[in-house]
Amino acid sequence: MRLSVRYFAVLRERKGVASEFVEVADGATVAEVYSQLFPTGAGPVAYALNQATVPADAVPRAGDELALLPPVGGG
Amino acid sequence: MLRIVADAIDVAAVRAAVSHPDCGAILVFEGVGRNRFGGRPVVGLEYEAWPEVAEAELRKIAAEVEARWPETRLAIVHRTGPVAIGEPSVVIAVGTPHRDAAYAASRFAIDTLKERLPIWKKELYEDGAAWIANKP
Repeated sequence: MRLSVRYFAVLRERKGVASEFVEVADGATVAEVYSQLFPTGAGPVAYALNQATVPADAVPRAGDELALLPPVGGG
Repeated sequence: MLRIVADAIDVAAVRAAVSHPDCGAILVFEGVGRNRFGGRPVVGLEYEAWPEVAEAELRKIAAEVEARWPETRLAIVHRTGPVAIGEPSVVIAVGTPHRDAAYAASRFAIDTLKERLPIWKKELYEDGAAWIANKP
């Protein structure tokens, strides 16, 4: 199924884009999607589906927007 | 005024947003670019945000401030993009009838936004750069 994925900070630099569409297996967790996109790892992330934070074992549905959020540094 | 902006913050405007005849105390906090990180000289900063979610989070923080310190006026502006050493990345202004609430609300706002806002900071050194997360 297809998801849109948003990247920020170090992840955006690694991918070279701020967002893209990706194909993932049905039933994949957000953590599994992260591993698929960054097979050698890219540091700890938090996950958001459709702008709401979700745990690592959340399972996205087709058309969802997944955001991968490195540790924040605002303020 | 609860905003993520892409340009230099108008500090006077943030203060003006909380000024009111019923405020006996106005406190302005500025988070400012600092020239050192762990002894390594920092020559500049860059901030990146998820703007719509960050602004929604600012509104949640404002609601929490209102619940805990009623009659507090609050304005928060955080910028993205390059920030020079000495320049503000975030400005928080609070206006309250009396000062106790101003100190408490201002502290709560900066502590909470540092923990929750989807904003990332890159430190620029003479010989490289690094994304730096806030301490938990």
